[in-house]
Amino acid sequence: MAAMNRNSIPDTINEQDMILARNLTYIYKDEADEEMKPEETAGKKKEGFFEKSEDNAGETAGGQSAETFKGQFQETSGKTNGETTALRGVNLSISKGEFVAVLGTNGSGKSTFARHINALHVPTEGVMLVEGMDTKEEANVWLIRQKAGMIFQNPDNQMVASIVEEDVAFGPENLGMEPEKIRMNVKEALEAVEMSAFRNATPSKLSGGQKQRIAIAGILAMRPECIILDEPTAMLDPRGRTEVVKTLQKLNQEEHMTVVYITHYMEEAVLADRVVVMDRGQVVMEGTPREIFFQVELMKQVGLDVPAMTELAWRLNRQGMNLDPAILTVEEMVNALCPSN
Amino acid sequence: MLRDITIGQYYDTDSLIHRLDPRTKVVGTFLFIIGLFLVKSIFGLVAAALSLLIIIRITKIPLSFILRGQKAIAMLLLFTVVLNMFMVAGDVLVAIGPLHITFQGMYMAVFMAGRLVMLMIGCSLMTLTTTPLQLTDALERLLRPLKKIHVPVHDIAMMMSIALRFIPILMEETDKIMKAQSARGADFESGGLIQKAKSLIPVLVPLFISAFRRADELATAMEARCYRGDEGRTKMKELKYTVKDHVAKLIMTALAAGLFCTRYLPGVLSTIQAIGKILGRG
Ligand SMILES: Nc1ncnc2c1ncn2[C@@H]1O[C@H](COP(=O)(O)OP(=O)(O)OP(=O)(O)O)[C@@H](O)[C@H]1O
Ligand SMILES: [Mg+2]
Repeated sequence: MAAMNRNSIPDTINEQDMILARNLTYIYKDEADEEMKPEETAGKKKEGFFEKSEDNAGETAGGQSAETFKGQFQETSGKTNGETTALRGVNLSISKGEFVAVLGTNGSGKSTFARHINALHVPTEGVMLVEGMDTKEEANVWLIRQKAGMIFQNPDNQMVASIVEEDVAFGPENLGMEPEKIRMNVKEALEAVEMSAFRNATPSKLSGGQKQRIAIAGILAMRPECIILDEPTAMLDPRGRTEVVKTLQKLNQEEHMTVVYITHYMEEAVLADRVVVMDRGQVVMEGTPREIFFQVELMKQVGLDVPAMTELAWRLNRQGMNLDPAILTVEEMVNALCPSN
Repeated sequence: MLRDITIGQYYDTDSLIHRLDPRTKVVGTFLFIIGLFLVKSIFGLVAAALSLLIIIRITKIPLSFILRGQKAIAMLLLFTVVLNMFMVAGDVLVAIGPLHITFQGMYMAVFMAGRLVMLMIGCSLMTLTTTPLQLTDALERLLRPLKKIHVPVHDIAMMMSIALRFIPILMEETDKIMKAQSARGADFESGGLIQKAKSLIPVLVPLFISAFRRADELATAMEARCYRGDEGRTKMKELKYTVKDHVAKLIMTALAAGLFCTRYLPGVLSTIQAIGKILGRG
């Protein structure tokens, strides 16, 4: 594993950080060794080396077709003999009350990173600290999961109960809270996401945005310090998306909730305090939305888009106009184009 | 069609019955079913139907809604009726070739159909007035003694509540897959039984794949919400019997006993008649 791109490990660990990843590396090990297709193996021949598959170990060495060989590659691509290095030496710290958006193309390791915060994965190498607690230690796991709640993409597949109120109570019940306290937390959580009126509703009768807000309430009722959301708006219509994002902004601003928000929508990332861009398991860019999206070419290299207005400004500038390249929203664009307004 | 199934659905009217302890409703339903099976005469069946109607009235759930939910058992019902009509020996009413409908057969058919419908309505009343989670809570509590012999009562209850939660979702998905395949020329209507069953395979495969994916995601989500079995777990809505529950259980016990007694009603009536006759002669 020598060729891995790895940052040096800083010797001080800031305990004030909500989330701290140091040299975080994670490798998925597939139980069933996936055999590579012959075409694939042929293409990558020069990078790796061939090894006979176990079944043929006792047979003659030569004269076998490509199919009987298993491609064995080391340090070439993400996939190595049924192993996928999903994260390579990620260093990242997120402080309390921050709203961080995580961007990246498919398979860049965003979900894998998010699952580390919730101790659903433990690092293969490196450290992950949540409120100073190491996720590797068994004893911390439940406290970490209470402190850092996680919301997933599909709202249907994370609801346990058939009644809104009962679903919101699921987390606090697991934590063994007193019934009185649970009731209070559930009430407050539903108020926070403005869903109190649907207390007794059936989830299947709610819209996607509403369901996702219920899921957020389910986490809030556990009184977390931090919410991690893995593409919570991917299955929602524009209205549902706005509902969810507004709720999160409110929580962040009013309750100082730390939010880690994974998304493919650049317009949503604009609202964050900080944007983290991941590519092939590494953090490649980090900064305020303005600092990030302003680098249109770099973003495109990583395979990502920039907000429509930033892209427009970039294109107009290429055509010889002289606009601020860090325009993010329609309003800013209007102001830049018609300064008299 | 699939969406008409009301079992496992909850219909919120906040009636007296809705507010009963779920254990009372489970026990009550159980007693009603026992009563139903003890009934031997049309008499008793009518009595059971009347009491069921009264209970439906108290739940404030529209009768039409409940009846619509029974569509799913129409086939089963038809099967029962036809089988009973032709198979029971007795006084022949109509003969069609080798088949004959007997008076006893007709009686049996009506009787069995009535019993089946009431059984289904009784069960759906329980699920309509109780949220699945309450229901499984009740079962968990009622079956708690089994824990001593290492029956994983909590896990079974959790599995059941999740199954109930996902029934409507999977139904909808089946509908969607069938529509998507119909749009691509799949034919679910024509052909014999075997042909029809075969045409369902392309529906079942994606349905199963999706169900497994859902199960996987749900398990992760539950773990992320600190689920770790029933150790150290509390309940928001703790089950508590009130006076109402005891009264309800008493009523249901009386109903079951009453239904049982209807078996002797014809006997009692004929005895009274006989006594009357003897007295009249004397
Ligand atoms: N359970 C798994 N087993 C094996 N490999 C996996 C598993 N989950 C993810 N991977 C691999 O790890 C890498 C990172 O995946 P990850 O899901 O973290 O990406 P992502 O950034 O969340 O992508 P997306 O935008 O599609 O959600 C990918 O190459 C993926 O194929
Ligand atoms: Mg992902």
